[in-house]
Amino acid sequence: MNIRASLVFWAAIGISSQAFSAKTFVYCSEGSPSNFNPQTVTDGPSFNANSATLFNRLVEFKQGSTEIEAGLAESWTISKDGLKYTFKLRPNVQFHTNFGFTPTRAMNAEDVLFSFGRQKDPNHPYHKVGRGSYEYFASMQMGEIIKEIKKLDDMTVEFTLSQKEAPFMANMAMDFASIHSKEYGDFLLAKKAQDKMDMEPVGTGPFVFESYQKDTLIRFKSFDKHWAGQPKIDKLVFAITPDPTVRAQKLKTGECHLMAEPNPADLPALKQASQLKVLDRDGLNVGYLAFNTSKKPFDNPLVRKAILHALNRENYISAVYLGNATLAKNPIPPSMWSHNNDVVDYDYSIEKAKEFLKKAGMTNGFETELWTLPVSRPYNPSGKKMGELMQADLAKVGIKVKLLSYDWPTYLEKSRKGEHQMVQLGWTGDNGDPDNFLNILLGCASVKSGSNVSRWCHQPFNELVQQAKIVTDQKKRSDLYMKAQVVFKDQAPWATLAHGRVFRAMSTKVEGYQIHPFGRDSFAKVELKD
Amino acid sequence: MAAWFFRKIYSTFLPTLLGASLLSFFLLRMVPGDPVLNLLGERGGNPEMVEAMRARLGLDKPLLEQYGIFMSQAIRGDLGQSVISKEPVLVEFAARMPATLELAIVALFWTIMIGIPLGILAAHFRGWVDVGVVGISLIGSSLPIFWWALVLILYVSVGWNLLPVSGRIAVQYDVPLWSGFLLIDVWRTEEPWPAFISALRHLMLPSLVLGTVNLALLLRMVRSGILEAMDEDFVRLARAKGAGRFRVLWVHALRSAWVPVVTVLGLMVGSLLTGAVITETIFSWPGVGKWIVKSLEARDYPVIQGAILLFAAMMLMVNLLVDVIYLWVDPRMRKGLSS
Repeated sequence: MNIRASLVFWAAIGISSQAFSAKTFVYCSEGSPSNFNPQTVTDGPSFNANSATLFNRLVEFKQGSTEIEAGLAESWTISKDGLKYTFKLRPNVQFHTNFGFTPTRAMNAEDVLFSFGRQKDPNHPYHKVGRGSYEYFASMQMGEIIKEIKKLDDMTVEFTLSQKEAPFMANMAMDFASIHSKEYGDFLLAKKAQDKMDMEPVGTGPFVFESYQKDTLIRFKSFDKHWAGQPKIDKLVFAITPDPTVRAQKLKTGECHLMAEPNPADLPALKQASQLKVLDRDGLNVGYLAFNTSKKPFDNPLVRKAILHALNRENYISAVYLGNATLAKNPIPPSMWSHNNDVVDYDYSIEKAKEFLKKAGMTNGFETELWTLPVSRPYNPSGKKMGELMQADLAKVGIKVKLLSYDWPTYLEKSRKGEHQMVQLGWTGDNGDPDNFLNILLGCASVKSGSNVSRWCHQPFNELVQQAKIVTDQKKRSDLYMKAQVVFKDQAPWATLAHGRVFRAMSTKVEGYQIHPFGRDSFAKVELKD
Repeated sequence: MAAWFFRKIYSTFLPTLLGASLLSFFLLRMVPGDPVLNLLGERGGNPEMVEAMRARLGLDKPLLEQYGIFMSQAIRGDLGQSVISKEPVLVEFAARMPATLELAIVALFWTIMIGIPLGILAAHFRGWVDVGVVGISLIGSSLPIFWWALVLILYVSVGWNLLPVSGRIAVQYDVPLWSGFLLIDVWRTEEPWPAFISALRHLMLPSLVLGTVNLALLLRMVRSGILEAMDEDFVRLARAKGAGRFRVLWVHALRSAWVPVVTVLGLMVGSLLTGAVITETIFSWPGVGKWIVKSLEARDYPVIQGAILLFAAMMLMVNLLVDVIYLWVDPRMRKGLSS
């Protein structure tokens, strides 16, 4: 290359063109969506790209809250016996026009039957599309809970349950319960292109799908006929950026307006930047250390209590979470209804720990294993570091701990099988119901399904939690869960560690954004100020 | 030549592919973890449900039968569907390969355009030039890639605001993918120049980072190749018959240094094609390297098996190409072939 040509070249390269068209909102997301159908995926990045953007549900979580509000259903009634839920649908809800498909009618009962039918009915024309795995629907046991779905008239649908299920309304607001267009389904079926359903989505959501370049960009445009009003931004772009540090840099240079999941270590710098702001809120999560109560010596509550007294959990909040968490006393976070603040926690006391060990007949301590979390999560950003601190704490009372870890799928598999002695794990709630924590993580049925990794089946606790599931009165439910938390603390199947705070960093131009308790990023109400 | 080619195919190509498929299939099954449990995450599910889901993926069948099904489909060009995205493995692969190729070509361009001249310079001048060049190359080859990438981002992108942090093109350019190579596809849009420059700007840092280690390696190969050749009898003869220093270096020494250089370049191309995981992750580059690591973490069996088979095939092709180039640069090998 001669000198003049190279000068022209470098001059051209040097032209910085970072200007966005007026209302294009760029979101630096953390990962690629698995696909664009919320029925068939289980991870946050997928839900952000599909259910939060393209779809709606019969009922929705209020922005930034775990409370439920009307969505595609205007109103609903629950029968006295708690088994029949009747939804009155919202009139004139339009589906997107896309991929050669133009809807001829507004959303109606057929669409609701179609959406749930795909997941529940093995003979549904779409059931087997994409291998027919509906992990969320199945793991919530919705197939068994929902006995029948009936269309009463065009705008009324009735769900009949096979058992009382108090969290049912919250379940209906979850991602997998998104409503798809039956008309679009028939359109694809006629073209024998059912496989397109999950990659070329048509929904009722605030944004319309434009294009997806794998692992790079997802483009959406605002939906002018959205039932809740057209969003205030014209275009929405997800710039997929897996590395959190790089996301932060992109935010600083103005390549995106908002970033998902900042790295705790980057927060001080982000907070200092004048063109940025950082929002935070209590996360709907819990990090814990579970004792395998089916193995000796952890079958003995005295040993578990000894360990709880021996762990300096306050210290972990500052050392591991860098202060971005609150010490967990109960399995459910303080922001959730029925959280029992009167529960008395185990304080850090080596003397008490030794006393409990003595009572358990293990004055000289014992040797054991502790598995450290191999992934970084808001509920536990560094399992290894925490493990080392725990190891040092337990050594002080004579408990010799060997630290172990595996890669994530292996870790999950082995802990579900109960191969561990002590294991670090955690949970982020997905419907805001206490049942979602107390029953799924600590109920007797979950010992079998594996999500109860302490393998703790304690009848007095289990009865309270099961009863709370079938009572529909919120006050009564709350009382039952409060009692259950007292039993939990007394029996100590876990050392509850922390509720991690959730952060989002964004340009100061961004307005109207609220952090969702489940970590979903929704941009329907976001504005960009000039 | 044709006989040699076919012998290569059935004596090397097919057995290696078979070996790669066997190894990847069974090693993968020996690693604990399971795609279904991974999908369920912290939530889990009851054992019957997990079993039913495994059955739907065909994971309940005996291993040998699973392998048989995989191979019989693979021979017909069907590598199965991804467990995560539920899309055919080949479609997923084809969507990502162009990005990897584009990055690899530009990185290789840097490597060759800078590495070879610098290597020659070092060998030619010796002294402080040599020490300087070799020193820089040593630093280059021992830089941790992720650190180097972050340092470049921190200064070049954030500090001086010269180049973008990550991605393939600025978001305001909506370039529909046709060939998958953005540098080509931009010419199908209405205003190609700004988009082309944006794509180039996005390529700079990742290709520089990806090229750094290879550059350092190539530079030293060229240098040592030439220095070695300078001691050979034929170079001494050339000198003795009065050839100038320049001619000795360029015509006599460099040509014999090509053989190891071609070998190294072949290996580099191979490693570049299978994706540069770290570079791709940091620069959010949508290539195959990042894809396969993600699939490995998720135990997405069909993707990993399929990708390994495809990678093995690509590596073999590159090796074949290197062999052909050997024939071209080294007359001794041509002779060996004809005898």
